[in-house]
Amino acid sequence: MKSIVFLTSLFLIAGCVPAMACVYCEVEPKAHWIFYTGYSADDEWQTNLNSRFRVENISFWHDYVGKLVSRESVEDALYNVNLLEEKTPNEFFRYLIDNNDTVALQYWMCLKTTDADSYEEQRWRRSVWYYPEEGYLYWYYNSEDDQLDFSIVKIKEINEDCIASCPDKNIRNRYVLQVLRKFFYAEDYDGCVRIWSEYGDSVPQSALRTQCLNYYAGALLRLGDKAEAEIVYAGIGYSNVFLDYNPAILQEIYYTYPDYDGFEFMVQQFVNQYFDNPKRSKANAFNALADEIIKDGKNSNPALWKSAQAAIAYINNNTPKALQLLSQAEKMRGSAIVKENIRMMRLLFNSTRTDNDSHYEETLYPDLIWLTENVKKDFKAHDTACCEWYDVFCDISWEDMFYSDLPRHRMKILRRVVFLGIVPHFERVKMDYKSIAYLNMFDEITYTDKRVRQFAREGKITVSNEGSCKIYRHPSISRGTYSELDYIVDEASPFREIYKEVSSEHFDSTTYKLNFDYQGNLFNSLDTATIEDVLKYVDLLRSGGRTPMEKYIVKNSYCDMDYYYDIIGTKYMRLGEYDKALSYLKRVDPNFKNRQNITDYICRERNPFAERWITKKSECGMYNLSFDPVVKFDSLPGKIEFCNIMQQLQKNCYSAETLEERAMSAYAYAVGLHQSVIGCAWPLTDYGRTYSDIYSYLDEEWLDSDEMCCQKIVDKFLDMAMKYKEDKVFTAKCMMLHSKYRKGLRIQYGYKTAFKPEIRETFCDVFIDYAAN
Amino acid sequence: MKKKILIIAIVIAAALVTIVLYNVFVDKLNIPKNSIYYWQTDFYLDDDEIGFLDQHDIKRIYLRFFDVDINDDNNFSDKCAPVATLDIDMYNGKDFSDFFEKIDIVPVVFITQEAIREYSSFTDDLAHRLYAMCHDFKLTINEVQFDCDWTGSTRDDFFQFLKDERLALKKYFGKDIMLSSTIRFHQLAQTPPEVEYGVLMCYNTGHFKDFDTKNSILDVEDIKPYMKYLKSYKLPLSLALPTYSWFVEFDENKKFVRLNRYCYDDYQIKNVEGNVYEVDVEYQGQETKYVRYEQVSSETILHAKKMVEDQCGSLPTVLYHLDSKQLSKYSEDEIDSFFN
Repeated sequence: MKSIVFLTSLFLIAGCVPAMACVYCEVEPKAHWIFYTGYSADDEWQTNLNSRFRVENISFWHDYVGKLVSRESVEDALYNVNLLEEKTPNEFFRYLIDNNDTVALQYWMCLKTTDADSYEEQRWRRSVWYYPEEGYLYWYYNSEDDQLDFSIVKIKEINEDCIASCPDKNIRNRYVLQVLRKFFYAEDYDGCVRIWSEYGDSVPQSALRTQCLNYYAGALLRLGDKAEAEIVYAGIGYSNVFLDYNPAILQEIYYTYPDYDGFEFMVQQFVNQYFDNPKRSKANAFNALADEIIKDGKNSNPALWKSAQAAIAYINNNTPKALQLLSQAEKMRGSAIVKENIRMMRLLFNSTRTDNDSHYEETLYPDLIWLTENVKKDFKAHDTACCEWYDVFCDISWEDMFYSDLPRHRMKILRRVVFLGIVPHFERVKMDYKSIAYLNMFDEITYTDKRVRQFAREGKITVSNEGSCKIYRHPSISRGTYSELDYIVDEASPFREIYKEVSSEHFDSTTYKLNFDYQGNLFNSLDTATIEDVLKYVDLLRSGGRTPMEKYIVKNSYCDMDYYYDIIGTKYMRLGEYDKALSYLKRVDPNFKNRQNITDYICRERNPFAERWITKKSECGMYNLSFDPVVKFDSLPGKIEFCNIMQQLQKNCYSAETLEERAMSAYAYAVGLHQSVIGCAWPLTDYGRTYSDIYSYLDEEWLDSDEMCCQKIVDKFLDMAMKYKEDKVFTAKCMMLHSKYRKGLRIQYGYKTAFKPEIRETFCDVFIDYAAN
Repeated sequence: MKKKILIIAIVIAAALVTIVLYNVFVDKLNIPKNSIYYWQTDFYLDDDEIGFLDQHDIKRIYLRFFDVDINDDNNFSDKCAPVATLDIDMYNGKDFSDFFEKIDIVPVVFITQEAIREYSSFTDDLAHRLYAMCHDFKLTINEVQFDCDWTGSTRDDFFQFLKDERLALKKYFGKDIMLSSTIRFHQLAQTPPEVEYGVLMCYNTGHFKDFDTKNSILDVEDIKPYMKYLKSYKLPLSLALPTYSWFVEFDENKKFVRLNRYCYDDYQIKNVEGNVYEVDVEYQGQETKYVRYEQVSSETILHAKKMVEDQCGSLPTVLYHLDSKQLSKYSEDEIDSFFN
């Protein structure tokens, strides 16, 4: 149940509740919208109005009593009408009583009764039997706010007669507001309209009148008169309502208020709604209206209308026309936000062009640099503010902690440019390494977790280990308890599945908590790109870039070569190219590996040369070779030693003196390759990811390609092994391994049972013997 | 020959009287022939369920509004509290207001034995709450039903509660509200409550917590001993028949763990005997070792119905309860036969 809060006394401060805020939800920004969405109309409008009304109300009653009481006592009275009693200590009420001001007292008594009545209705405060009544439920189900001001729902005692019978015109106007509120919350919208039509003219321009109009417009809206409602809202300067912003409404408002400030917001909403539901007739009507407004010259923001026409052309897949209209818009008068939006749209439109322009990057360069620098400024301003007062606890998302208030509009535009424009472009022209470059820059600037890591390294924040909280395990492999790791690499668990949520009590390493190298767009792209693209990209990084754009990208990228060499070496390992793998892995600084806290720790727990798929106590010594790969790996577990062993085994396959040793070497090689790619020792050639992560962004083909490669090599070495050694048990083991990585079977039966039925039949007795021994 | 004619005449006369009395009872109390209970906390009918009501000419839903139990919320001083209040999905999904205009709704309140002892503490609140809920759901009602497993020790409390509640309901609804009450078989041996009619619950006849019970929902052997009270029972009755099923879970010591309405698709189960299965399930720290699946066959339902109606003639029928998943276990013909 949502929590409900009473603010009974506050309502007296007088209809300070927005008439629409709880009914119309905020427009949800959508990633694909192309018109600016960072802009909303004056969010503070209602707050400001309430504030103005409060001051006005206090002044009114203070003036009403000739300022013969303290202003504070008036304020107290407004906040707590229950002070109105015969022996009241409140100076203001005391004055009204002493002067027998029955008109004012009647008004205040009316409010007090209402307040008391409202309070009385909230029986749930005192009884568990309370059942919320209709008015409340309406708000309850429609409010996005967890905290509801219950007191506003029922206002019983004030009615139309109060207005008609009040001799004081100022107090009468106050009754008008209260009656409007009563009708509004009782859903008597016709009543609202009637009251305002009858008495509205007499309410002078004031915060009180604005409050009244707010309810009146809200009532109109609910009666379906959207255009009239919007005009009333426009008149009181409020435009943050969620309507169907069709051109007809915009036109009606334009005729009434040609230079209405709220047009910026409304046009934004119109364009974005058009994006979701493009109807030619709407576009035509809007374009005609925009042309008329620009021609009239009565609106001081013509660039807004022209740029919206450009956005519509873009939505209708006419990018050249869109760019042309943007150029026209750029030369027109326009507010700062519109001018900035024009530049952003130009960048977005250019980035998504599909004409394979050979000057693609040069075209983007000035606007992209401009936008990226602005995004950096947004972050920097925010970083400076937040670093001063946060300790980082492991159980709270960095994003929530640091960046909940970050202005994200420009970052979202940059994201759209990179993801909707640049990356698809370079995929199209087969230059994936360029995509990686842009993703790296984007991550480096906007990946909030990495930024927080940087703060920690720079000592700007401290990381606390206090509390036994739950954390979300980062997809990178990190230290856990032995049992957790055991579980993680358990062959019976689904493909490389890692359980996200683990107890944090064992995570004593701040390195772990701040390790974000193996997640994010950069890592995902490196992990899935071909090795050729990664090599090209690393060359680009090492060269520092050739064009101004490349130089800028490199300057803003994550350039730790140890990181890239480790990834390249690991990718070669997956392909069984151990010479090349070693040439990169040997360049990785051991300190880097220690710092990253990946792979090696798990490697110590899982020996890639042990036949893990058969449950036997020990497989040590099983290979009968001049060196035991199991023991050798255990003595120095890690990628480099693994590659050394595999090289040695490969050599033995062709040059060992006995066929037995060649067969065993081939078999051990097949085991090692299998185990290190898809078997229990997979951390040697992979960086941990969650099961769902893999399938959320990888296509099956990619997954297959490496495994197919591995499979072919394993097949080759198993064939070799069986050729050199004719032994029933040995052949059975080879066949069993052969069947292990058949994907369909593996998925169907799981690791432990994934052998082919025909193999099971043929070698059934052998397996039984083998398992029994 | 004369004797034979006389016997036939008596039988026909008895049948006619039964029919007439039945019709009088039905007409007077305006009880539809076919009704159904709705016993979940969220009111939402899917198209199948609405279709089911149409197809079987069901004119009334006995709609459980809330239960009343001892209050365990320390924030409130009330001795008893409403729990599991019905929520009608009016705002986020279908609007059932049109539907409510077409069908007769009878609010039902279940009161525990512990709570009925404290009836005086909530009589007025309960009436007000029913009124508020009906107002909220835009329901016009003429009747309220109370469901209480009262026994000899709580009978007086329950009967007094009914008297007081009738007045309280009149106060809030501004009119006389008819009362009905569920009647359990063991209650047939007692004086009937002062309500307009009762609904004889032809289910929950066994002890579900007992591992040795074969079927706690309905076992005709369990109801046989009470048949003798039916003829002379001084309260018009409707008959409620069970169309639900459930799983009763027990631990390894055959101690009751919980009732479960969900099936065990994800678990390996092994039949032990009859409707008892072996399964390994853990729920809130309690391990379930055995499960008894209980469902009542249409034959058993019809058998029970016949047993009752043999004693007191044809009765309006109420199915328990409206749940398309559960009802789908019976064919259309079987459902029709329950109502006929």
